[in-house]
Amino acid sequence: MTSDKTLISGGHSSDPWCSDFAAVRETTVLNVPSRHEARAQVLRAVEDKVQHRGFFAARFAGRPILMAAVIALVLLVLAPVSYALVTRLLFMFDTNQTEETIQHEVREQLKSAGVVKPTVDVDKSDDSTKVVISGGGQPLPDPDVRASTDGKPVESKVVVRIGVMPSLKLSPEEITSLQEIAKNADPKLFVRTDGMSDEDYSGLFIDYAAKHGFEAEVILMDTNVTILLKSRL
Amino acid sequence: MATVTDINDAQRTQQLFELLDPIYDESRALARRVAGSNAEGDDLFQDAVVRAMAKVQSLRDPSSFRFWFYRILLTVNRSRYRRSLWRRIVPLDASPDITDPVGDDGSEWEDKRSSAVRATQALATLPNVQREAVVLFEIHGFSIEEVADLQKVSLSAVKSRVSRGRDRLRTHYEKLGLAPPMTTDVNNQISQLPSNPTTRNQEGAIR
Repeated sequence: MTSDKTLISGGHSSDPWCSDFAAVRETTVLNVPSRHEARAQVLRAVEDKVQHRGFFAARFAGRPILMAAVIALVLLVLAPVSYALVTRLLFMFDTNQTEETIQHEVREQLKSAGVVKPTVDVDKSDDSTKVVISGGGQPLPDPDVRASTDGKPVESKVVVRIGVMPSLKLSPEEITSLQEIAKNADPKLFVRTDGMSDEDYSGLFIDYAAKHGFEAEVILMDTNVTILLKSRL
Repeated sequence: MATVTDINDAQRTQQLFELLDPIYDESRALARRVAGSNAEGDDLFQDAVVRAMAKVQSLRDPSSFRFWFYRILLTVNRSRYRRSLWRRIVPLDASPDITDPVGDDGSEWEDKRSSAVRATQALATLPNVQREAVVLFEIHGFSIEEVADLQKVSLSAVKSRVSRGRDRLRTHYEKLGLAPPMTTDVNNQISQLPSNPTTRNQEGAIR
């Protein structure tokens, strides 16, 4: 049994990071803003948030139907080339191109994938390209993985997105292969059972990616699952 | 002129900061530790307070405020981490933004600064939930049971996270040439750790 004397903050005094963690303990208590300052900052943040919310409410107030269909996917792209795969839909664009070209290319790819009247907005800034896609009032192809356990329908929808790290360059064959993998994925593989931890649930997707030759990272957010392919195994 | 919303916000802020007062410094430090830098931690703290403000009137038992607030803080941390997806794809140098020296001895301060940077970089190699578990347990001094409560997972899940996190840390330090290869299963000690932080070394006390 480890004696209490050898324990440093839950770990062991022989851990090589022991003194480094002690330094973190010291440095994180320096220059803490005062309570008064913090309170003022919070009030300012709340005020900003209210104004922000008001802006969106005003924008959508007269178009309630649009709210339901709008913004299926928002991508922020920092690398020259990026890919996005929304379950059965993969499109690709080059961020070095103009906004109009990207808009045209993505729209054409969406159309050829069966999206009716897709709306694509592209906003380029100095270091990023933002692409917002909607189905133009029509729903996009269902990107949901709907699964059921014991014959009972699952109420919450799981949306699975697959992204590719910019550092991982894919060949056209690999893109086609990815489309096939997404198209043929069995939703039952990704059923989250009661009590399953985030880690275990992520593991289902990591294992699935590994089975197809990719190292992946999984990000869970509510019922959204983002699988990021990082490299080939 | 103050609107009704302004007054409500001011009242809720007042109420929240009264509850926060006893744990103000501790919660600030926790935010910085889980966020990986002082600047990110300060932003995280602010976001958590704003989120808590919206919920504070539903808090029935003020004595449970500390863990209630920390759970919110961790939830906000994960949310911020996910939102920063693309920032993580293009990794930036992980370095805590420390400017002021701890003491008069400049060299001692430089050592501390380097140590803190090294720890931050090592922690950055861990998946978010593992990093949280390691920070809460090893740096902040929460017990395994408390970490499980804060992360809303089972005891075995926390032990697994801490254990895997320690493995990754060791690998990172080995690569830096700062750790000898593991000769004994240090992580077995995790399961033997006292669950109550008061039985631990004083350095493990919560700050």
